[in-house]
Amino acid sequence: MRDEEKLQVPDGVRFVDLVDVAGLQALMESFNKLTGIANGIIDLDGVVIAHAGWQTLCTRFHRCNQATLRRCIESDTSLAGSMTRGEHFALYRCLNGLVDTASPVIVGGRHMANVLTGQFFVEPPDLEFFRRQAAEFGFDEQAYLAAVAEVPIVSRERVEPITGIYAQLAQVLASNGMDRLRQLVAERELAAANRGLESRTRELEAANKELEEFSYSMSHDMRTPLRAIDGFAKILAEEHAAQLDEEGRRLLGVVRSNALRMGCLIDDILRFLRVGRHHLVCGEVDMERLVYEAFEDLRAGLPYRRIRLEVGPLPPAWGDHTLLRRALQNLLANAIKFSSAATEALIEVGGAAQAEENAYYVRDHGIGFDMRYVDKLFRVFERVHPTGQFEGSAVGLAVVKRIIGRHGGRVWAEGEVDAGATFHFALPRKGD
Amino acid sequence: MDDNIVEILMVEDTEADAELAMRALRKRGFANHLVWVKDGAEALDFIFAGGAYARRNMENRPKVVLLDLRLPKVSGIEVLRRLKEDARTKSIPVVVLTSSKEEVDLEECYKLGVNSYISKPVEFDEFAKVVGELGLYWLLVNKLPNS
Repeated sequence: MRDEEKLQVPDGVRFVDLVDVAGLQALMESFNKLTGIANGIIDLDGVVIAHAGWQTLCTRFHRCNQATLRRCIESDTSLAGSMTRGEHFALYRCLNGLVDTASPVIVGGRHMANVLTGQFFVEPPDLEFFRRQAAEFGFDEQAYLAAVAEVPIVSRERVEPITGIYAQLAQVLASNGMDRLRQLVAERELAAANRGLESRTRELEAANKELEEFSYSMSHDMRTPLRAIDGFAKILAEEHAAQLDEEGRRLLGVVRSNALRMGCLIDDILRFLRVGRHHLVCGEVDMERLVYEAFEDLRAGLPYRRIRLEVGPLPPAWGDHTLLRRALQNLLANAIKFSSAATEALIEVGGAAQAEENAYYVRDHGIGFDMRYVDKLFRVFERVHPTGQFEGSAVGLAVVKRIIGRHGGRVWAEGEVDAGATFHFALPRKGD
Repeated sequence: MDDNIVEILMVEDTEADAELAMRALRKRGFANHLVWVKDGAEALDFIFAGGAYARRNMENRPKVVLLDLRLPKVSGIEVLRRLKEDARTKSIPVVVLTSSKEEVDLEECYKLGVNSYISKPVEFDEFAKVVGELGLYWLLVNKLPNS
């Protein structure tokens, strides 16, 4: 398979990461029960992943004596060496007189482990050979020969199908290991991508905060020279008016009115930025009460306007009292501003509790807006109606959006020219 | 001017603001005994009769200190703290007159015992009105314990 060739085993991935160790151990034990033959899976670093039925002859004698252990290792190495020549399995008579077979597990082109079976005889053992070994290496002959007697004798005809099963098992392990490897590599790539994304998000947040701090202190510092421009222009107009002609006085007026306008803009920016600096203190907020409070505040400043406010039952909100009040105040102010001053203005406030959020709206029956420009409504200093036609800040709705955004909520609007506008916002319910 | 007769101590590093404030006070007739210092260190020297003001009699306390917060050398907050923690000066009314609208500054000033905290309006008419009313209140209306 071509993609298997391409997928390299990354550093640090071990064979044990690619297999179900408990499942393999159970399989090894079952095979051992069935055949009486020792079997196991060992990775190329010598780590035993699973094994069953290892012979006393090997574990108690051959691997416990320096000289015979050297032979074991020499045999293992020789067996492993034959694996790399691309055989599906190898049958090998070990230097201590037993027969072993091994099948390589090759994942992504890398030889990662061997499925081993062995520690058996293919014909009755040559007891003379083992007596000589006992004498040569100082084993207790009786115990040693008893261990030899435990070793199963597997006929050559049986050896072939058994080793065939292990060769197939090795291939299944290789193929499953490949799937697991693909998954592992994908997980690693995803984790790396997420880490990258998180650190980029943190950088962006920090940059954004820095930019806000800068805007804030800059806006702030601009007020001082602005006061001087307005103040000294005023002094010029009042105390030196005699030296100015009418055009000179008009020009001074232009200077002053623009200084005032700039002051309003700066105050708007500061109002907008202050929402981001406000420390959120969340609790349950009685939205009906908040609407009435905000409305009374507004009405106090508009004694000549006739306004009828209709407030439907509103679900309580979970949020910051101060900020939500400001949001409602801005929405109500907006509704009043764009309603006709000639007749009684009707403003409706409603809301509903929903599964994941509580939704609210403020509706007016004023001049409305063209839905083509709906995206501009919530942006700082963007106007849908020309300056001069409607007085005041172009930041009110941007502040609303920011306040609701800080609560994890959303805002949207609907309108039609000369048929009123509805501003909606929704706040996540507590615990969401 | 005789440093010993002082009604208003204005601590303000922005010359334009200082001039506008003095004009507003002069119009109301409150600028006859006004001393203007340009940083926090000079303000403390004046009040505690140190440095260049060593020959001044500390007993002659201003009727009000108009204090900007962002000042060179010693900050306005520090000047306020030193004034309010010293038994000899803590009864001097201090009015913070600042362009800062920071809540933290406001809270800090009240913790330290500021007598009034006013944001400078950008608009000159408003500014002049506020400063004029300040003068009226602290020089004529407010009563201080006899020194």
